[in-house]
Amino acid sequence: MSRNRRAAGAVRGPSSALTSFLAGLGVEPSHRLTTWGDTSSLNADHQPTLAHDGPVIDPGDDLDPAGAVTARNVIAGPSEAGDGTATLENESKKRKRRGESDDASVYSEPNAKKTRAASVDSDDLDAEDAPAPGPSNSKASAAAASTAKVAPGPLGPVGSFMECGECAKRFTVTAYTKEHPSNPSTYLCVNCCYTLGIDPFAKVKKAPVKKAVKKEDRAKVVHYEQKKGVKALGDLCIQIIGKYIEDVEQLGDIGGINMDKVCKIISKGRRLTAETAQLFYSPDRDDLTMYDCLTPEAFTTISKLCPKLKSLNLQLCGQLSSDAVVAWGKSLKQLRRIELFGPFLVRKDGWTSLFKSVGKRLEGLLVTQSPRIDLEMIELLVKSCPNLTELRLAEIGQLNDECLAALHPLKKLKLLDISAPGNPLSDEAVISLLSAIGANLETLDLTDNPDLTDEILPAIITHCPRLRRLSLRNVVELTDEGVAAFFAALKKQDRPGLEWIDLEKGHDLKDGSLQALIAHSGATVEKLNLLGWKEVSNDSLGELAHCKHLKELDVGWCRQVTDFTIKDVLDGCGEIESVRVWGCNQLTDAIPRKKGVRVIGVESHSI
Amino acid sequence: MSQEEDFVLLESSDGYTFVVSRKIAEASGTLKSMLDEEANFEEAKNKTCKIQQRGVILLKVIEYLAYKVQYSEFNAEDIKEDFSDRIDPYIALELLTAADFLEA
Repeated sequence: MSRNRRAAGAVRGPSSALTSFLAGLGVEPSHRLTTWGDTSSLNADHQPTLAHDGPVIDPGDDLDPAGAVTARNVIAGPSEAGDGTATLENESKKRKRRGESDDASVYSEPNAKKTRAASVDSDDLDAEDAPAPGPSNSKASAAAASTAKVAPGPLGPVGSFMECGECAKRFTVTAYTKEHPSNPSTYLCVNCCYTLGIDPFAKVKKAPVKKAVKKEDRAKVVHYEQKKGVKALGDLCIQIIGKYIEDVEQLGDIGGINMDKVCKIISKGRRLTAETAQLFYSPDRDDLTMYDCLTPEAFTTISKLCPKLKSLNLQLCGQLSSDAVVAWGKSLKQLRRIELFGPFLVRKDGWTSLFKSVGKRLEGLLVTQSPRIDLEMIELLVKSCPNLTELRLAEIGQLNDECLAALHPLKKLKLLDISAPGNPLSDEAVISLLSAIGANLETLDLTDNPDLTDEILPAIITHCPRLRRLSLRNVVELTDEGVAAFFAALKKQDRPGLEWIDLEKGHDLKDGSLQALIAHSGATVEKLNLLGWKEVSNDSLGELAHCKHLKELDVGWCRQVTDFTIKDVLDGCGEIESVRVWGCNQLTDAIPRKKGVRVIGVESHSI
Repeated sequence: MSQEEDFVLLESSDGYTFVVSRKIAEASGTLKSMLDEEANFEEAKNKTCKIQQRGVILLKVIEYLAYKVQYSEFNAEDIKEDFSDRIDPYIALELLTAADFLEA
């Protein structure tokens, strides 16, 4: 019966260009292409046919009345979907009305236009005025109850078949397919959309929503991948510590050494925040060391929470601000020693205020990497802090020979570190500085000064009688003869041996230097770095066994090192703790071991 | 002996011993290396690890390792059981040092 009625209506939905073209040529489908098995819910519409906007199709044609995408249309391409909304707006409105009337007459005589009025109840009218989706439509819910239940599931891809959640008939999924308003996860065929008062072509809303969801999904996918399994125990502990930070007694007392360990662990995980840092603040502390620092506010609170600090050591303190430094100067009345790594944000006004307020109390200033320290700051420092015994100005970009000249009044210095300056320091400037302040120097670090030559070595002998620790790392101009003469002269003058010797990357240094070094300092040296002495012979290295107090040895890239060299060192040096052998490629798996000694960097051990 | 049924002994500094299945012990990176049979350590030979932590701390670490193994295949947002409820704040600091050492 539906066929007849439909034929009479000659209703035609949007069709593909191909369909229209074929229809124009008189080619018609020989069988039903629609996936709707039955269109009985459609009523014949005996009103005059609607205006066509395309080639006229034979009324008997089997195109879908609602213009849903048939199997053929799907093949025709996606352009269909785009066109649909605009051109169909009018038509679909009309259809909606018709849909209502169809619906109303489902249970009445098919062709009775008169019966329509009788069958329309108030719900129908409501629905027609406000076709809001929802189960309020009594007929819809009745129909849903009457029809076979369809198992809920996700919407299939466009073009696939699904069963309608309302009438359980098969239909083709399109971009427009709507979800059932009352049975979630089931979907409606176009006919049922009309029945339930849903505009089957309302797409505009869907598009942006879909996009947003997609974005969220994408974000979630990453989320999902990142987090699998449980949180690390350490993180949980830090979380708890953060929670009970106000109540330090609850956390228990684990002693100063362990607190330092805890600080290192928290820093390692980069969890040191203003909250957790309070764990380490206490009014009776006189020294404070932190390894990874924090927010600017936390630095300021140091001065309030630890008023008795004498020594302050902050590593990686890039966030340290001028204000915090000024606050320290004002409230830390006992501050004597400051060690900072990377205080980039401390400006001249901060340094000025600190130097002036700490003044004569300051005994140690150890700064690595600050772009703001220049000649003016150094002059001010020397003027306001005459009692400095430790001075580190490492990796200071503006450091130059003039700055060294300004340091001459600091006669009390025991530690001087002027490594890796922005401008290479000259022999003359260093020699004149040493002649001025060398008398008390115990530690001298001239690392990374590429312009220094052998000439500074005699000056070190003459001016630094108390020297114990010397670093000439990466001073590339040093020669084997020069260094050998240096240690020979020390030996001749009967100077006490050095404890730390760092001659890393002394590319030209070899046997002569090493033998003289061992002859002079062999009995005292504790820390020795010979990294990069590529030509030094195996025999000389074997003599390291005479260094009875050697604790740390680095023989990296000394190519002649063999298992026997290591054996000599392990046997001879009773106090040895660690040996670094990176780049010693003659070492084998058979390298001797000794309890309590770490041999680091054996090539065959790394896989 | 199959890995599943294998047990190891963990000993605390104050003399408490815990027999733990190898699978759970190896949830800790440090213990895994110690017990690695290819590395030929004393610990691997005897299947005994001495941990320089108090028994109460070690007990909690083992409890955590079991929890970690239980949920190892779960997505983080699906895990409803929060282990931090089972940690006494009094031992949090000590537990943190133990967790760091054991790579738990």
